[in-house]
Amino acid sequence: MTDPNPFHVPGLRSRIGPLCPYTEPTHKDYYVAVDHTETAFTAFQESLGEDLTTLHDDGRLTVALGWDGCGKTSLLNRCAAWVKAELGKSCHILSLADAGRDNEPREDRENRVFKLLIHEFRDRDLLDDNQHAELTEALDKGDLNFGYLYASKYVLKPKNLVLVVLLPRTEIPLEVENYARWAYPYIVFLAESRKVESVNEHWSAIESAHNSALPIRLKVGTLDNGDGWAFVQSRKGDRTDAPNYPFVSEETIRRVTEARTLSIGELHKLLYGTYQEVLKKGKASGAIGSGSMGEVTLLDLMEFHFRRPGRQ
Amino acid sequence: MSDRPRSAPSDNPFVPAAVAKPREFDDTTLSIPTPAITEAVSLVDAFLRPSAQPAGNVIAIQGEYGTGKSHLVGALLHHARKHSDDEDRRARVALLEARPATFVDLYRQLIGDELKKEDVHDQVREFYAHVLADELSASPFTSDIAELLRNGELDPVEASDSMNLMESRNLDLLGRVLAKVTNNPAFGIALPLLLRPDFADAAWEWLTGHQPDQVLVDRGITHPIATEELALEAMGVLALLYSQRGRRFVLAIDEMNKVVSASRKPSENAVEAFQKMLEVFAGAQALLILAGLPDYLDELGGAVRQRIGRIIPVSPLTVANTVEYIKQSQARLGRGRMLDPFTENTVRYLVKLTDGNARRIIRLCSHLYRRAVDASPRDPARARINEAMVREVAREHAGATTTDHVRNEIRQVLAALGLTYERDIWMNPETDSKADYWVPFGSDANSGCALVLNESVLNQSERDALVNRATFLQSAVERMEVVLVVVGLVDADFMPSLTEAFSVEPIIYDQYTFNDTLSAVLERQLSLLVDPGGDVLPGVREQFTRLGRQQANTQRMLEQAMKTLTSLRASSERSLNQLQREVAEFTAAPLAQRVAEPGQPTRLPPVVHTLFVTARTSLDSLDQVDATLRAMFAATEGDPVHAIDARVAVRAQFRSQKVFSALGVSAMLRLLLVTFQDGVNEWFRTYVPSPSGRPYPVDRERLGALCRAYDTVYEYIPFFQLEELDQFGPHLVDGNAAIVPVPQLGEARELFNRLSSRVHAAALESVADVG
Repeated sequence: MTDPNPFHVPGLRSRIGPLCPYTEPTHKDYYVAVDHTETAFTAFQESLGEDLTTLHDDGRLTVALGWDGCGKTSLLNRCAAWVKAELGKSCHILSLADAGRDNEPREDRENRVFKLLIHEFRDRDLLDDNQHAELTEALDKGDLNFGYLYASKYVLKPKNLVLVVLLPRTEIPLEVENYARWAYPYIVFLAESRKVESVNEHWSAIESAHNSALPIRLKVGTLDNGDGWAFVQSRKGDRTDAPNYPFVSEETIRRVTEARTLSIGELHKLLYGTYQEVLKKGKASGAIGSGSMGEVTLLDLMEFHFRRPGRQ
Repeated sequence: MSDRPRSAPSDNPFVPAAVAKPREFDDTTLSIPTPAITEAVSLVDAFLRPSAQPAGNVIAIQGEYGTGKSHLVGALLHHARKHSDDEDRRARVALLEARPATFVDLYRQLIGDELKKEDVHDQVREFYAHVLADELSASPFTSDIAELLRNGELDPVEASDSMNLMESRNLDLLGRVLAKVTNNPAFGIALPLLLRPDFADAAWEWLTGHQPDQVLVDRGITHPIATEELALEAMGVLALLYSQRGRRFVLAIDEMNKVVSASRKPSENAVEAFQKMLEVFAGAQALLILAGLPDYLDELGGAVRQRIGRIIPVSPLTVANTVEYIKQSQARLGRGRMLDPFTENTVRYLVKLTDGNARRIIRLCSHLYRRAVDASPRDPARARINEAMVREVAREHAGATTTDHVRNEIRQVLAALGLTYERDIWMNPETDSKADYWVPFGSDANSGCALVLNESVLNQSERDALVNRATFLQSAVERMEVVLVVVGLVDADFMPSLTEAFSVEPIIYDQYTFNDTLSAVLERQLSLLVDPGGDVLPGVREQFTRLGRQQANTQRMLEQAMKTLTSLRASSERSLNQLQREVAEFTAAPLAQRVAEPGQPTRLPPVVHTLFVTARTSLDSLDQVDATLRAMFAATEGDPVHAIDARVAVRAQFRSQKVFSALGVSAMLRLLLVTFQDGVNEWFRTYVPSPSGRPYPVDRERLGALCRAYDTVYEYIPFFQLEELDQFGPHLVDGNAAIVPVPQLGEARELFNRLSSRVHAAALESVADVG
């Protein structure tokens, strides 16, 4: 049976995002060309070129920049999935997005990422004892530059493996700069930051630290005119042909999204939550099944906002 | 008198401590609407009035110690707290009490003690709520939520989270708004972090002056708030934070002079930062109240002065103010608005003696009230305070410290300035020219500064004695500065003549300011003694000043001589009358009785008698010339060889002329001791016991006068010269040094220094015991 809430994304605990096509291939169909994400994804593809073997000469840092809820993680997951799809078994994705916290010192976070990288290499039988000792010593000495260089040259290159590392989100421009420095051949760092201005201000230093291939900066933004309705349409939230499914009108979406800057994350959460409520209400009243489920109105959406926690 | 209670309650309506504590100011605190208070309150009212325009202001209160600055600060803060128009938007009031400190310490007091973490957090949260509300109100869809945020019904952090709003964007926006008030982006980074639970502790620690945590260093906050500039900047940021959206913030800094003064000069950067902070206050809905001794504003400079909305000098209390204070104090105890036991005249005299200094007035009121009630224990309602009583109480309490204590402070100041000094020096042995401290200074061998230490100057003769002394001192040495230190009060009428006679206005001892004042005066006066070098004009100018001063001295000497002559004549007439009366009494008495009284019998109680005996014994131990001479004659009668040695040894001691001066001092001290003892003995003979056990005022006054007479003479005796006698002793003759203990000059001086006060106390005590 089709999920009556068209904004529910399957395979996710949060039910709405972020999309992760390399773990859930079906997510590939959930990407919508809003928020400049499509443009950003295309830019990523173009930067790496059709022949990803350029990564054998130069590693790459990709940074997704945007406010919360604008789709950075989904975009980077899509990028990782694309590289994996292009390179097949010669690509390893290492998702360390949850390996760090904002409130810990940068260095701790960087060390933890490298430590987990050693563990993952070991779990995937990519290291011999000597290599393991070398990498561990680099970590102990705090010489991550050597560590990544060693991994590139003596672990990945001999096996012709490209490693895609999805980094924990960072607010520290220096951290981004460090990963630019450590983007040795066979290594692709995918970083994200919501400190758009800080990273932009620091961009020339990031570029200088990077190898001769330029780092990739992907900017995702807020919803443009029509983005909201495009999103609803792509998820079939406007369908009126199924009597037991609620729908929303273009006018309502226009009124929600006009006059104020919205992220796709905010709109998605609002629609998912409101549809859930409407469905719950319909189920309780017996409307579902009777075919009387109707339109999700502006009032429904507003009421949902008001019922959210946070009222003091 | 019908409205007076039948008997005055024993409760003293006046506070002896008389130190205002701004924090304790409340509805029950007594406050007299002096012009300074009235004006300052009207400025606070103007500030609190609702206004869309920035109503910020800076008020500077200045005045000397004890004039009521802290009281005024307390009154203003209390007023601000109480009279904010809107209950919900009541002014946030903070008080910083400057200890000897820096702006950094003040800032830490503000952020740690006055503004607590939750408090600051709430302010940032509210600020954020409004940033979010501004964002959401743009759309009709979310305008209602914006309203909830503005009203404080919705928590902005939770709302942002639940609505999946772009938190980082909004927090950045908040940071940018906050950063606008400062050149330092650190505040724009740190304050929004207070709203992120994971960062709140680190941000708060930094705000309270600690080293920034690494997570803050990563974000660009590299220095603690530990410089004057940063601390002042931070205070400005907090003022802005607390004065948003119609709210008012009032910050008072009391005793600013402990942060900035002539001896605590601020750095240029600090002055600039202070200036900027004043601008922030003026441009926001924030009021800054500064209070302190006058010099703090001078040190902050003209640019700061220009940014102060109003400078309010705290004026001395007038007679009317004091009358009002007394009436209100009594009314507060339910006695009605009565002035008794004071009168208009005693209040006038009190104000004159204290120069209107509120603290001194209040203290004296307390002591006077107690004294008056004690004097009429059976009928307190009839208690009255007269001028004599004011004088007496002023003498006892105004100084509130001992001369010894002041001497200790003087010693510290001189040592701190690296000055050498001599104590109790007669600049001219033939005149009354004693310098309590002589500080040689300058290119001339004899130039220097003389310090004269004196207790209250409340009557004409005391004034004249000091003017004489100043004149003699200045005549004794060509280049001399003479500074008078008064431990007590000076009748305001005498100030001009004393200022004229001495080199500068007398320094009235004040425990809070004395060190600083004396340092500054000494530095200034001693600099006058330095040769001007090649600069001719200042030299000529100084020469003229000196000539003018000498001329004035000569004039004053002539005037004093005339007065002394007149006084002598009057005194002679009185003495003649007295003599005639006594002769008449003597001849009238039975002859037998006269024969039966060969000497005046002692009437001294043992406790008083012991004091005189002890003093005499101590003098004997110092002056062993008599014993030495006796030993010499005894030796002469025996062994002839030994006799020669004894003569030679004794004669050697007389080669120094100073020994004879010392013997004169010793003889004078004995004479003074004997005559003082006789005087006190006479007092006991003529004293009339009162039913209460306490002596009648007239007897107290007589005893006081005797003690003052002793002090006046003793003051002029160069006690230190007795040092010259320390080689004398029978050991000169018998060669056995161990037999005689080394005389203790210090101990003996202490006995003589305090003899009058001890006799005074012991006499009153013994009389009370008898009663």
